[in-house]
Amino acid sequence: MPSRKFKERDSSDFIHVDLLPEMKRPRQFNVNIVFIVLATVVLTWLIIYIPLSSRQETLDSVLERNNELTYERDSLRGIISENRIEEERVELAESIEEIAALQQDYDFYIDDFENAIVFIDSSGLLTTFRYNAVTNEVVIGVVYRINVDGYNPFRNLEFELLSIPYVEEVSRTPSSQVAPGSTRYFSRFTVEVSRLAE
Amino acid sequence: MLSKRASDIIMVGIIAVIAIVIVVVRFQVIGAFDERIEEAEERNAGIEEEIAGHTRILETYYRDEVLPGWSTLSRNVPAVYTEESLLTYVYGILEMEGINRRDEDKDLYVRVYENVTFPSGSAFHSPARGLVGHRVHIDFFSADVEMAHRVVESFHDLDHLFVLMDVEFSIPEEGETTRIRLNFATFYQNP
Repeated sequence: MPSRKFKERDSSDFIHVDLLPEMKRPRQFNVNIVFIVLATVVLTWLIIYIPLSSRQETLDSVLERNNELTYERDSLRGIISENRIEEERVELAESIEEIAALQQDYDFYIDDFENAIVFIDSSGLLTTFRYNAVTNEVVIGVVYRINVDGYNPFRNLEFELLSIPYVEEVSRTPSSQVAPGSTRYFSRFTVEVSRLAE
Repeated sequence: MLSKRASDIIMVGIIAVIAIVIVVVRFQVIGAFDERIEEAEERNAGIEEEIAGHTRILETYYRDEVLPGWSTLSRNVPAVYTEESLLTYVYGILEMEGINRRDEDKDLYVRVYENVTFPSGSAFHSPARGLVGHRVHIDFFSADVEMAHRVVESFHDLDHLFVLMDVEFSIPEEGETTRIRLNFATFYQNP
């Protein structure tokens, strides 16, 4: 519809009549829709399709591998079953083997530690011995005769024990006199040893 | 009628909403896929382990036919446990080493601690799984600490599995005796 609005400024003014009809501009909106559709397609392709297709490929290959492995496992189970190898029996046999491997002697610890004690000072004596195979720990009581002030064979023994290949750690209690006024001193050593040192 | 500016704003808004929806859908769908892939890979890893175990069993026991029979295994790890029979067995072994219950000088004491568990970090923990472990405590006096060593060797030489857990003694002076304490682990099949 033509616009009928006008303003009278003075008598010489023309009347302004817009004869062009008021028209909608639907083209602009259609372009937007097209753009939206296009953007949706591109975004979907970029954000969903590309990563999804690569994952689909990965999943396919993983599932294919799963089928192959399942077939291989079932075949092996079949062979095991045909040969009457019970898995329970195998497990028990292996447990027994592992347990038998834990049977360890302790005599060589005594020999090695006694040698170390006497090597540091010929007055040295091994007085107590305790070996714990569960914690891999040897606890020994050692007595030295000390006649000279400042001489500490226990410290030297600690280093000597550490030089034994299977010894991992050594700690000791402070030395103390065996009896008041005695020249004999006692200290307890805790020696961590590596498993199956024999 | 919408102005161009309003139309542009709506368009940008719609694109933003669509983008958000696409991103949300992306994370949902891809997340679900990733989860399926992860589950399938875990299953594959489990099957691969099983295959490795089966292959090892076949390589070890099929070709050489060295898998011991149930009777042999039951001699090593008996199926039936009673405290009485275990004590009788232990006393018998000690008697063979000259350590007699009736010998007052020896002051022999044996006790069984049932269902012993081992700390998870120790070498005993893993092999003992699936079996029932009991601790046998042996305590006696002797003038010779070598006796402890002989006892340990005797128990380790038996068909029935005994494993030394700990040993403790003092070195006796000339003419004296010392208390020797031994602990063995012994195992039985899980009933």
